[in-house]
Amino acid sequence: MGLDSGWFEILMIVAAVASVAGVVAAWPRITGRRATHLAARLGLIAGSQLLVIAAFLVCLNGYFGFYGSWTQLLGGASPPTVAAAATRPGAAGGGGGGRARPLVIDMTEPGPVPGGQVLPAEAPRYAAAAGLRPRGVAARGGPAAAPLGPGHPGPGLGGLSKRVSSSAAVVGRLLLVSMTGQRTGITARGDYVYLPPQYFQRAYAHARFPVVLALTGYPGASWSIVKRLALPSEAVRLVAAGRMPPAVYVMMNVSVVMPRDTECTNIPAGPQVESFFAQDVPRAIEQSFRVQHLASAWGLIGYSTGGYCAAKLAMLNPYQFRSAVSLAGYYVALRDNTTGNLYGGSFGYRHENDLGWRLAHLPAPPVSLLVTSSRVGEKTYPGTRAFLRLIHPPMRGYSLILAQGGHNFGSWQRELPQSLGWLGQRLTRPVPDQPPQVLLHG
Amino acid sequence: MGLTSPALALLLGVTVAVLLAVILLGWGRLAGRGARRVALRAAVLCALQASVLSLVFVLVNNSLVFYSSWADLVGSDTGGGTVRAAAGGNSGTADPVVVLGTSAVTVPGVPRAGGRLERVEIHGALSGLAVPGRLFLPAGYGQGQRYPVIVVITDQVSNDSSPYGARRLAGAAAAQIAVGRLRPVILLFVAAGLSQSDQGCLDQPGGIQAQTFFAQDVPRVLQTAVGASTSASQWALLGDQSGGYCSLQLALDDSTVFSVAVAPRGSYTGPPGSSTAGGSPQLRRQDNLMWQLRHLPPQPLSVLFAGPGDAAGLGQAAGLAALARPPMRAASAGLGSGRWPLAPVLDWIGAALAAPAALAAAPRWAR
Repeated sequence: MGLDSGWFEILMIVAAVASVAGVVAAWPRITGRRATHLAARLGLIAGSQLLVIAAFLVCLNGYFGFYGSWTQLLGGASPPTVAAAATRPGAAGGGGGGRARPLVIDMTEPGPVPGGQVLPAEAPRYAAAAGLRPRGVAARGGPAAAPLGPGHPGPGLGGLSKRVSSSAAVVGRLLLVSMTGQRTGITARGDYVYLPPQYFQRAYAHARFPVVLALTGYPGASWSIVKRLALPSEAVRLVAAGRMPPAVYVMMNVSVVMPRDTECTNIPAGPQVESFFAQDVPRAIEQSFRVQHLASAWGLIGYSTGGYCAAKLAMLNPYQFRSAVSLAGYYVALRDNTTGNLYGGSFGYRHENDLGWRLAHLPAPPVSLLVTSSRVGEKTYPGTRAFLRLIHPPMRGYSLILAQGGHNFGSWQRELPQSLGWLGQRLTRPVPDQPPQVLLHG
Repeated sequence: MGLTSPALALLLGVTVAVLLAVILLGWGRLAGRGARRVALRAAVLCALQASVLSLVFVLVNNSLVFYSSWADLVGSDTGGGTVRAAAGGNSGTADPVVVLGTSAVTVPGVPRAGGRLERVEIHGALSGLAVPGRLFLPAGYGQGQRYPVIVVITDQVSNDSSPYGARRLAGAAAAQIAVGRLRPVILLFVAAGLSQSDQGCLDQPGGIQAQTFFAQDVPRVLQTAVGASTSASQWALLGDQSGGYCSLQLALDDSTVFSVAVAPRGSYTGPPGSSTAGGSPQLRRQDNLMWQLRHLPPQPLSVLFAGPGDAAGLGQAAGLAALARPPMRAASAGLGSGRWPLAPVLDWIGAALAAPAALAAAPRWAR
C-alpha cells in the first residue's frame, strides 16, 4: 500500500484508535501484581503509543509531502545511478537516435485562475498519472493517463487532448511532466510545468516566455510548490498587479535520486545532478515550450535545500541562469547521513561546492542572488549573514529578512510576493505580437 | 511559554511521567466494568498518548526548528520583510580579449591575404584565468556576422614546423577557405594543460578551473568579442597528442557547447601527464573516457580520430570508437601529406559543422 495513499493514512489512524480501545478493553485482565503483569501493562501502553506516533508521522508526511513512496523513503528501487541510465530499455535502438524524449507530458489540467480560487483540490490524479500511488482518491485517469515504465516515452506531446480549451487562456495550464536528461540520463518524474494564461492568448501566440525553475527542499514533493507554497497562484496575482511578467514555471523535486540527498552535485562517478538541472532541464524545456533561451530569461527559486541549489546552479552557470532566489537556503557543502559521500573523497571538490569558499577563492560570477531568512526562528540566519558579506562584484546580493518565522511554508509564503517581484524585475519580458492598445490623447 | 523553550519540553516530560505513574499505580482501581471506569481509563490513556505525541513533536521541532513560535505554528504571523541590496554590483568590465600582435596569413597563389592571425590573451571571467593563445580570423572577417569556431588545443601553438602549430594550421584553413572547401571559420589556439602539472581539461578540485575556462569562458568571450556562433552545432574541438584527451573530455562533458571533436588515435584511459583526480578514486574513474562512454548516455557528437596512415584504421582508439552509439558518431581519417597535412581534417570538420544533427520537429506546445 502506498506510503502517501489516503487509505494507508486511514488504516494507520484506525489501527491507532483500535489499539487505544484494545488497551482499555484488556485493562481488567492484567490487574495482577506479578512482574509479568506489570511488563504486560507497560508493553500494551508502549505498543499503542508507537502506533499513535506512527499514524501521526504518516499524516504529517501526507501533509508536507516529504516522501512520495516507500522506495523514496527506504530506497531499494533499482538505484538510478549512471549505470542504470546507460542500459535503460529503449536506449539501444529505434528512431530519433534511440533516445528517450527529453520531456513527456503525463497529464494536463487547468491551473490557477486569477481570482485566487484555483487549483485542482488534490494531487491524486497527477500522482496516478505519474505512476505514483494515488493519494486520497482513487485515480480516475484523464485522457492522457498511463503509467510510465522506465524508458517508456508514454503519451507524448502529441497525445494531449487536441483542444486547448478557452479556459487555458484565462487560467493557464498545469502540466504533470517527466524529464529525461540527454546529457546525464537522469529521469525526473512527477514534476510540474505551469504555463501562464498569456501563453494561450492570441496576442502572445508567437511570444517566447521567460522561465522560472522552482526547486523543493529535501525531502520534498513538487506538488508542495503548487499547493503549499502556492507559487502559480501568487505568480498570477503578481502578473495581474503588473509586478512581474508572465513566465513559464518549472516546479521540480530537488532530489532526483531519492532517497539520496544529492545537493545538486555532480557526484564523482555517480549521478550528475548539477548538469541535469543546469543543462538537461533547460534544453528539455526549450525544446518543448515557447520560451526564451538567454540567461536573462531564466530565473531560479528554491526553499531550504532548493535554496542552496538555486544559489549554486546560478553561481556555477551564470550564462544559463542570471538570477536566483534562495528561500531559507544555506551556503555550505553539506555532508550527512542522507547525502553520503558526494565529493568523491576530495576536499578540493567539496570546497568547490561550498558557495562561501567559492566567493573567497574564485572570481565572483555575474549573477544576482536574493537570500531570505528570519532574525528569530531560522537556524540559517547566521550563515546567511556571513554569506552576504562575502558577495562582491560583479555578483549582486540582496536580502529579505523576516523579523520572525521558522523553516516552514508559512514563512516562505510571506517571502514569496517580494521574492517573485524581485525575480520578475530581472527577467526579460515576453513580447506580445500586437502591442497592447494605447489610448492616444491629442 | 514559547514553543521552542526548554521549559515546555520539560513540562511535557513531567506530564508524561506523572500520567504514566498514575496509570501504572492506579491500574487496579481503574480496572472495573462500569461505564465510568471505562471512560476514565480511556481518558487517562488518551491524555498520556497526547502528551507523548506533543513531547515528540516539541523535541523534533526544537532540533530542526520548523516552527519558531506558536504564532508561526498556527500561521498567524503576517507581513513580509523588505528586499535590501546587500552587496556587490557592477565591476569594471575588463576587455575579454587583449590583442598583443597581428600578422597576415598568406596563401600561396592567392594575391589577397587569407585572413589574419592575432596573438591574444583570453581573460576568463568565471575561471579567473588569463590564457595566451592565437586567434585566426578569416579573410573578409567582419563584425555583425556569426562564424563557426574550431578550438585547437595543442602544445605546438608557436611551433611553425608542426602541422598543429598556429601558423601552419591557420594557413591550411585559409587555403581551404580560399578554394571554397571550407566556410569562413574562426580558429582559437590554446596550449594544452593550463597548468604545468595537469594535462586534463576538467576543473582541478579546488584549483585551476580549466573546464570552466574552456566550456563557459571561451564561448562567452568569443561570442561577445569576435562574433562566434552561439550554437553548439557550430563549435568544434581539435587536439593533437597533447590536447586530444582534452578535446574528447570537453566534448563529452559539454555537448551543449561543442558538437565536433577531433583527436589522435589514442586509448583515452586518462589524461596525458598527471590528472585532476586529486587522490579521489571516483574522480580518477571519470578521467577514463571509456568509462564515461559506458556509463553516461551517448551525446550528440561527431568525433574524428585523425592520424598518419590508413584512413580506416582506428588503432588504439578502436575501443573508444566501438562504444560510440547514436546520436554519437565516430569516424577515422588519415592525415594528408605535403604542406597542409590537416587539410582533410579541416574539410571533415567543415562538413560536420555544416550538417548539424537533424533536430526533431518542434512539439505542439513549442509552436
